[in-house]
Amino acid sequence: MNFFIAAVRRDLLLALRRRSDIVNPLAFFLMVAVMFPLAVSPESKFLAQVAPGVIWVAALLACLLSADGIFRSDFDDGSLEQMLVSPQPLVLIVLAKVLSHWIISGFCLALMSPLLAMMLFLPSEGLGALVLSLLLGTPTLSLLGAIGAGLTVGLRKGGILISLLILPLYIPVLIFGAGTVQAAAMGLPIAGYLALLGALLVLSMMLAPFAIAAALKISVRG
Amino acid sequence: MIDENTVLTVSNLQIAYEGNQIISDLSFTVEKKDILIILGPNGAGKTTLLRALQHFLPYQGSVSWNAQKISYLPPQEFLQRQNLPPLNIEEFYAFKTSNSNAIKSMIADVGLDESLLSHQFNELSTGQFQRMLIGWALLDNPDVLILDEPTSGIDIGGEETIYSLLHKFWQSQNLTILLVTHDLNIVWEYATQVICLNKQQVCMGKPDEVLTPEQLKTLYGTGIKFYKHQHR
Repeated sequence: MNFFIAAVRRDLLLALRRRSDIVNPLAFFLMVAVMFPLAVSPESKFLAQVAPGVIWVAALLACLLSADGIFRSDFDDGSLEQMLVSPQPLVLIVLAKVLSHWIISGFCLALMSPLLAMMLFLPSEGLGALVLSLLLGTPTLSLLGAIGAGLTVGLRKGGILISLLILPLYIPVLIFGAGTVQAAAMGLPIAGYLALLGALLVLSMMLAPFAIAAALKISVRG
Repeated sequence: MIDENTVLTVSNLQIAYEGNQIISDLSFTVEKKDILIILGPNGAGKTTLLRALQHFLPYQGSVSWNAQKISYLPPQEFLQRQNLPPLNIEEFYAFKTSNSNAIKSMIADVGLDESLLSHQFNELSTGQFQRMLIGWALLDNPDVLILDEPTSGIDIGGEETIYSLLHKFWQSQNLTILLVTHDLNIVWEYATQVICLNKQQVCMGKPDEVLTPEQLKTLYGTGIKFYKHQHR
């Protein structure tokens, strides 16, 4: 457990030192929300209708944008090889890295999302559901993104490949995440949506770390 | 049945890369407390062998470890030229232990000043950097330490310091060392076993027994001169 905490602490420290790791996904998230009304329509009724989908798509793409970096610096500086020969279980190391990634991307996006929701005139009934759905959905995005990152870490331009590999897996999270906010905004119950997002999270927590560990081994072995 | 004293068993190892055979039919064992030095000319497959032993490369044959903790130090130039993490030495060590006394003790053991703990990687000289890495590698008391040319880019004085340091740790801990070097002096001084490698095993055994002028000529070609040290 100490090792897990040390690994999370190290990654958070690195993210604080490399500010772009934190700022880039948040800036992207904000820019989408600012640009969307300019490009489509500033009409509040229309924006309120599309806000759940727009915010969720922006959050998903922001997570995807940062996924490429989950293992990149570790691969470049040799730390990844050290992790592979470490006596600690690779699955645990991988989970620590995904947790760190989620804290600097998904968690921050969830905290920032009410601001975007207000910019897009999302009804106040949907605000809580938006934050909850992002808190439940973005860890799954980080776990799935890490599979793609693990598979492409050895490639020079893995970013596009990650999108192709991972975007199809993101679709259920997007549907249930946006659906939660939509339902809440319409005053409908959201427990079912949240349960599905929770189930997706549990499923990915159980399976993804093994897939990520295998992907990293394949990538390092060339 | 695996002998309890055997740390590593390699059988019929074959490694090919893009159709080229890098290593063929290599078999050897490493015992506990051995210092095994892998010797050979450039392109002989030494680094490839070390990487395959840690399953970083695909191979045929079998590599079987009887060790819980393995530490690996990649070649110096690889580490120096890459984007090193923006951490100071203490933060870097904290990945392995949260015990600050253990960190301070290790820094002292590798002959570095405690004040360096607050320094970033790029503020260390090449020799300090390598000593710091040796300390990092030994911090969690590994059973096996694997080093790939640990003194490349370091002057003769620094090189001697690094090897003395490794020898000191080897004597005081239950440590097995696998090491790649080009330096025959180091082989004579420290190795308990040597493998001469040039895509395949040219010789293996105790340096005194296997490193004959004929073997070295076979390994490196005819341009090598042979001076045997007498201090062991």
